[in-house]
Amino acid sequence: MTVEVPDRTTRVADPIPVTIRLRPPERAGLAERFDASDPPPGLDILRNPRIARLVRNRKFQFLLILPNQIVFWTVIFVGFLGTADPGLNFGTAITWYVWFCLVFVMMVVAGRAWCAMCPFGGFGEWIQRRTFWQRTQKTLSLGRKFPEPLARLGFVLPVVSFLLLTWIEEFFNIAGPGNPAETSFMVIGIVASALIFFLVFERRTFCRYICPLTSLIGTVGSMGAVAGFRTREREVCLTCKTKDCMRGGDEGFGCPWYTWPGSSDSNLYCGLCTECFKSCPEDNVGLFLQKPLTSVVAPQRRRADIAWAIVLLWGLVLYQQLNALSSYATADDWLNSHLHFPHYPNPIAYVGLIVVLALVTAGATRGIGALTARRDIGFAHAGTFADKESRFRTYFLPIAYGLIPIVGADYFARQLPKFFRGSPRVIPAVQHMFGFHGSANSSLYNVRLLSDPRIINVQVGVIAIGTIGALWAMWRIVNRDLIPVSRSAIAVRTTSLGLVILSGVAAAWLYVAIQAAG
Amino acid sequence: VIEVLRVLVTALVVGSLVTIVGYALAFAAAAVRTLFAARRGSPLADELDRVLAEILGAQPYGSVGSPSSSRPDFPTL
Repeated sequence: MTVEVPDRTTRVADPIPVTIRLRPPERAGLAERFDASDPPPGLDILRNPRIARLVRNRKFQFLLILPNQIVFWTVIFVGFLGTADPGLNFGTAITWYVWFCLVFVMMVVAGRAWCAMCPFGGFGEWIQRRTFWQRTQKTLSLGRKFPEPLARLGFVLPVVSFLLLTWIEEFFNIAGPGNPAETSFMVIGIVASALIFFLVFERRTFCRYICPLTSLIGTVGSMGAVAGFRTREREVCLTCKTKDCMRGGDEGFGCPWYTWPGSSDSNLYCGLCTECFKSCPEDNVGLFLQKPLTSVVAPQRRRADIAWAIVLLWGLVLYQQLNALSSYATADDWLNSHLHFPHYPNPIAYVGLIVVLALVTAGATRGIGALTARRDIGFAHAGTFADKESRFRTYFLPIAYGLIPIVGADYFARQLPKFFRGSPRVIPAVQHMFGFHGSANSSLYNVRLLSDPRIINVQVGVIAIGTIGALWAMWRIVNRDLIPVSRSAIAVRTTSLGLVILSGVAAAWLYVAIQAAG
Repeated sequence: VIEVLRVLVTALVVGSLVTIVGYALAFAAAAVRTLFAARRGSPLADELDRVLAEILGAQPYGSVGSPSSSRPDFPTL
């Protein structure tokens, strides 16, 4: 097929149609790629005209963000100005006893629902756009593009920022919770970094490439039952001449997350901001539900950065379990005394152990590949970071995706003790903010929703549910992706499912060991 | 003045927390409603939509031949 390339004059005069006509739509392989991941048309929430009208309103996301904005600025101020008792300070109580636990529930149920109402990104975006909700053309930002070599790292950068934030949190015992002012400093730090990125780079570069939570929400959120904003009919997107959902239209901004609904096959990068729905002139974008775990199992194109993010996050949560054991405390003290580091967590032990745990998991997938891969297939040698053709990556990527439910369950289980021991304290903390100084004597201050042995039971139960979910996801993934490249279906199934069971048993055993150590 | 501010801030925070819970409930209600509507939806009607789309071929979206029944202005047969 020949493509007419217009001359320079036409290009300058009417650049948009020129740009679009340069590349004809590619339809080859559409069914193979999207059939498994496209949600059924009936599960479009926005088919209801009343809900559609509500979501189309430009104030919709502002109203989602506003309550969280009020709560988090209160957290900052009360952290500095309120009582030093972390159990009675509203900032620490709401953040560490309730919020962090509920964010995980939101991820598992609704993917990136938190991103839609996030006060950090919301605050930066308001300033970047110089408006709370209106569609504006001029921004306050320098509008730089994020450097491509860094953008290619995908989820690896946010994992690094999550590891850094977690180390800072452990070093200062912020989430213990410790001194409320430190929680305020941490929140201010996140808001300030977000703001800098929003002022320098275009759109939600911070949210996509840097935010410490984005790797966790993206990976664990793929278990969620919200598929995100997707095309209603792909053909309409393919033949669309304006791509308002990406560039912005009269009614909405271009996707702040750089996601095109026409090629979206998971909820990974849909921040549920509703802009594509507002800007699409064809009314061809819907907000779809899907079966839980669909975005784990269904995508045909798996990504190396996500696979590495999953094993690194797995390494981190295992590290956080291991560091609660007395033997780890002894080793950390020994290392600190030799390296003259003030106290836990020793950064070398922290990074070293997480990387070792991640490499052990990746090594296990390598072993599965070596053991079961067909000899008659010529796998390529590992090339670039994004390459998926080597034998290692052919096995590593799908198996890492299959571990997502267990990683998510482990993170959730780890938040439960704070929730069950401390969440009732939010009520006396609010009372204290209101001026009831007797709230420290409130019976709710010392109420625990569950005793420690029962908390362990719930944690083990959560891990069991995560393991069952991972077994189901791994079964589906292995059947579709790995059996065709393996010599023995039984061998690849047994080893992959065995890895899931081993991971689940390890996580559950660590919770029991922590209880015994306590 | 401080007391008034304190009451105001607390009311705002409590209101915000209640609003967030309200959002969660509203989303859950919308999701459940969608699921029920999808279950009630007639497969025959969807099949007719598809047949109609095939007969009329791919036409510009929003025209009479639009194959999507999701548009509120989709003409009924």
